[in-house]
Amino acid sequence: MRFRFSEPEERFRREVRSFLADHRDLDGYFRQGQRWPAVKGLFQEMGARGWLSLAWPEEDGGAAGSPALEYLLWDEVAYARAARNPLSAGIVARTLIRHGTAEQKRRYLPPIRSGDLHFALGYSEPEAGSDLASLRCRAERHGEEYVVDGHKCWQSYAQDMDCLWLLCRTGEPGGRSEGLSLLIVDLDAPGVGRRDLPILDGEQLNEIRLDAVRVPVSRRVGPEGGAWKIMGEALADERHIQFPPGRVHRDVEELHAWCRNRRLDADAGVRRELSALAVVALQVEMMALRVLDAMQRGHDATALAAANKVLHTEACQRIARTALEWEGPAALLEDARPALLWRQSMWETVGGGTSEIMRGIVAKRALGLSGRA
Amino acid sequence: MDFELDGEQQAILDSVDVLLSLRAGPERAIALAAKGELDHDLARALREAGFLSLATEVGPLEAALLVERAARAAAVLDVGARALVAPALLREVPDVPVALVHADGRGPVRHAAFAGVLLVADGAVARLVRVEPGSLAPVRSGYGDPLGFVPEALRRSGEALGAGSGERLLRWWRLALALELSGASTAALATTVAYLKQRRQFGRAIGSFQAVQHRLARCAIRTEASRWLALEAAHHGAPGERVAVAAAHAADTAAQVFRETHQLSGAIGFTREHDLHVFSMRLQSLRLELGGSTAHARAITAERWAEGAP
Amino acid sequence: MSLDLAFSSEQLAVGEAVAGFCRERVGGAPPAGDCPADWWQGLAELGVLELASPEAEGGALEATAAFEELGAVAFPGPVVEALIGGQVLRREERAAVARGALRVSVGTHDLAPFVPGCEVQLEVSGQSLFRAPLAAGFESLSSLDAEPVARGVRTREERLERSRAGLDLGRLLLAAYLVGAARRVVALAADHARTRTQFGRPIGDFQAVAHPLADVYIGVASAETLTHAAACEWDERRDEGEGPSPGLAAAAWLAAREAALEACHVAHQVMGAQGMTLEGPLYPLSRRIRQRASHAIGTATARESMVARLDARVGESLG
Ligand SMILES: Cc1cc2nc3c(=O)[nH]c(=O)nc-3n(C[C@H](O)[C@H](O)[C@H](O)COP(=O)(O)OP(=O)(O)OC[C@H]3O[C@@H](n4cnc5c(N)ncnc54)[C@H](O)[C@@H]3O)c2cc1C
Repeated sequence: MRFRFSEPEERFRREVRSFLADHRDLDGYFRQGQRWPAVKGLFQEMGARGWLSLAWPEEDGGAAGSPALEYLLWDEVAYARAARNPLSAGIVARTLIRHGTAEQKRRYLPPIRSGDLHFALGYSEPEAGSDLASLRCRAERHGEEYVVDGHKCWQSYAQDMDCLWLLCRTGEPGGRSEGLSLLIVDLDAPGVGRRDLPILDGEQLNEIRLDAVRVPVSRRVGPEGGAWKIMGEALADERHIQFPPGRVHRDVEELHAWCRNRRLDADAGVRRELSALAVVALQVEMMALRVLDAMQRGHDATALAAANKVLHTEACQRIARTALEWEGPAALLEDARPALLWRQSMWETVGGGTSEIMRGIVAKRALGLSGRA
Repeated sequence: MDFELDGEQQAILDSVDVLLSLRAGPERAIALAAKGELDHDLARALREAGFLSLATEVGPLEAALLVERAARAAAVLDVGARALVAPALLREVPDVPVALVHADGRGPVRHAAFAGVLLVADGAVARLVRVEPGSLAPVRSGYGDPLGFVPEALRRSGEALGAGSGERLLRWWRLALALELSGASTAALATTVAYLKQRRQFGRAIGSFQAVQHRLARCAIRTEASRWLALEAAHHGAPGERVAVAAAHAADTAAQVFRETHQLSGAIGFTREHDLHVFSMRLQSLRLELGGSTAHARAITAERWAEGAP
Repeated sequence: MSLDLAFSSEQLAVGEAVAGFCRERVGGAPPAGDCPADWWQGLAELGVLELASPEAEGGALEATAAFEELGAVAFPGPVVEALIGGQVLRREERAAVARGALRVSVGTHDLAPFVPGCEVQLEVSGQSLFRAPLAAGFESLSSLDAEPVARGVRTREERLERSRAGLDLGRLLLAAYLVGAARRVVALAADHARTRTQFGRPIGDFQAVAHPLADVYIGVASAETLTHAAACEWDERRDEGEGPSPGLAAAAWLAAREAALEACHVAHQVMGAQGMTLEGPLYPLSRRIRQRASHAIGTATARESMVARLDARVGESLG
């Protein structure tokens, strides 16, 4: 048993850390929407170092690195608050590598690897949230084209992205997870309408309407009607970088530093809660390491990843809530750090699969309980 | 013990509800918040109907009922301060917005930018500070109520309201807070329950899943308790321990209600197009006021176990 | 070598040997009260009582593997204390502890668990262990799970060297024991939820049953890994007996306590009346968890060392 990374891995971590020292004030983890040009610049620099394609196979232009390297990279980036890992180099690239045609790989992988091409995730719809398989957005095939009609919502960052990674129905309506396909749609294609959806954290999501949008069949990734399985695989490839514990450690450390500055840390109640949060942050890290370890062994990490998401996101909220309570009304000022932390963590237990759905997965996979009713 | 409203109370409440249903509500609150405005029209209507003087003309319990109902209707107004707190301290209830200020506070103050009267809690005394309405700087607020800055110098100025007034101000302020928290919690919960009865996923209403039901039920139990604790405290004339208990309970409940209503509403709850935020964001600022639940809890201890207490 | 979260085959073997021994001796329901003499002797023969001591081959990781199994059957007696003794006592005493001939009590200023019946009586205070026997004429009491406790007046004879190493080992072994017990508690409750039928379906179909169990599973799983990390850290620093506590043992202890107590709370709710019977299987475990969670080692020092750890990290990274 070993809770350390190898020397080369640690060397890489140090390299990432010193790279990030120049991006200390980016704050793209929380404010990507407001910092997009700078965040994109960061991705391009990372791309130039080969860091967006660390674990891709060599024949696809990657470095065939281990999951541990990717974990370390995104953990440091999260700790530095620099950015969240981009969808493009994550599930988009991984899916293309597994299932893309030679033409698709040629077209998309190089600009993804260099940090130039970015994607929004087009899964959710007004009526299909937790129950994604009920989605209705429809792609009708006409020869070598699909004609797509539908209504997507909650797309993060779509205002700045180039393409939509669209999940839509090519099969019979009401077919649940059967008959779903993945298409790449240019966000500036005719018929694509986008609307800002401001949210309470001061950032925004997007609503996207597709009105007779023509998409060449060559932009379909994977077999027609076979998207569900592919999505599952891509998700499984990503589990170790989805919720980097560095975020949570940083939250606790900022809270602690802030308590010291305000001289709150002499209070017994404050110290008690701080110690509890420090323990929780370590538990979060342990769970993330378990996910990574399972992936390195080729084990199924579905339940662990769900557990990790619940633990991580609930820890973020607890820390932020504590900060808010200790700061009092001054926390309500827009630029107050505790308020930012709080606003930025309030949706984390909903986005990307809710805590309830995650608990259901844990109950089912780890404990054999259906939790259906 | 009697939990039923008497005929007069019921009549007052009915007409308050009618007025609020016409003049307040989430939609109006959203429009006012976008402009950072206070609801002067509502203030006028309440005054003309005699509701702002309930405390002196009928009694504090009736004024308390008004404050709780106004919070449920998302009134963007200093109802608590004007209809409940000010009458406990001033012979004449001011005809201008009232803001409640803590002399040692650092944060922004609710309604300060519109206030004509500040009631400042400064240790043993309360002080009355008259200001030109609109003279204090507004603070951008995402929390429903318009906020403003009260400079340090103002917090230390004004006319002292006599012995015991500091403590009296805090007691009634706590009570108003407990009522507003309880009203906003009730409304946040009701908004969520209504949404979850109608929102379907997996072929059924989300509200039919047990995890969802049980958590909402827990919120409902605590919200009910908050209301009764606050009304009981009002009935007894806002004694220190009772108001502290009511405020502590209401603040903790608000934290739970905030968490659960947002969690269970999903993504739509984070937009300003859905009504939840009108209540939930207000809960967030109200529950931090006056030091939040920790301070309320300390007040309970001080009231009950302070040296010299019986 | 990169990250590797699996026990080595030697560590697994230690765990399996202990599990086999427990199956054979303890069987289904662990007894209340102190450890029967032959069980204690059996532990000594397995080598459990000397683990992590200077003489032993195995360190904290082996001990962790063993203590998770002891926890799973709520094994009685001062087992954690024996290994603390293996850190702080004199060589001849350590040998006697390892043979099962000498038992160690670790208590607070006036309470000494397992006394009479422990020849060595230690007192814990902050990060220090004192040799502090009770004066004659102490009062004999019994605790929640019928473990004997003595109350009396201590005489502090000496502060023991390697106190910190001993206490950290104690914290992480308590954590391992609690994790083992809590895993079993969750498994029992999940098993019940899968098989118990009400309203025409297994009660685990109901989210109000399934979701709280998922939550405690998550808590216990993360505490388990934290305990393993603490054991690794302890082994790496085995030779530094003093100095500030590095912190993971404290974290593991705090996390495992919380997780185990919460698991009991949920499991009792899920198992209903069946959880209340004295013969078990749930009650003897939850009672022992409560008992160990209230160990004299306490939580105050552990909490302070967590804040100190934060102080150090914040100083390092945020300036
Ligand atoms: C900040 C943010 C960013 C997002 N970004 C994207 C994006 O980029 N692309 C994209 O496609 N989507 C995105 N989403 C959408 C996200 O995936 C959905 O919000 C999520 O899947 C939940 O769906 P919903 O919001 O419709 O909630 P609903 O499914 O309506 O759920 C409401 C509540 O009911 C609970 N619930 C639902 N079903 C059950 C059940 N069976 N048992 C118990 N409880 C249940 C949920 O847990 C939740 O608490 C984002 C969301 C947020 C908040």
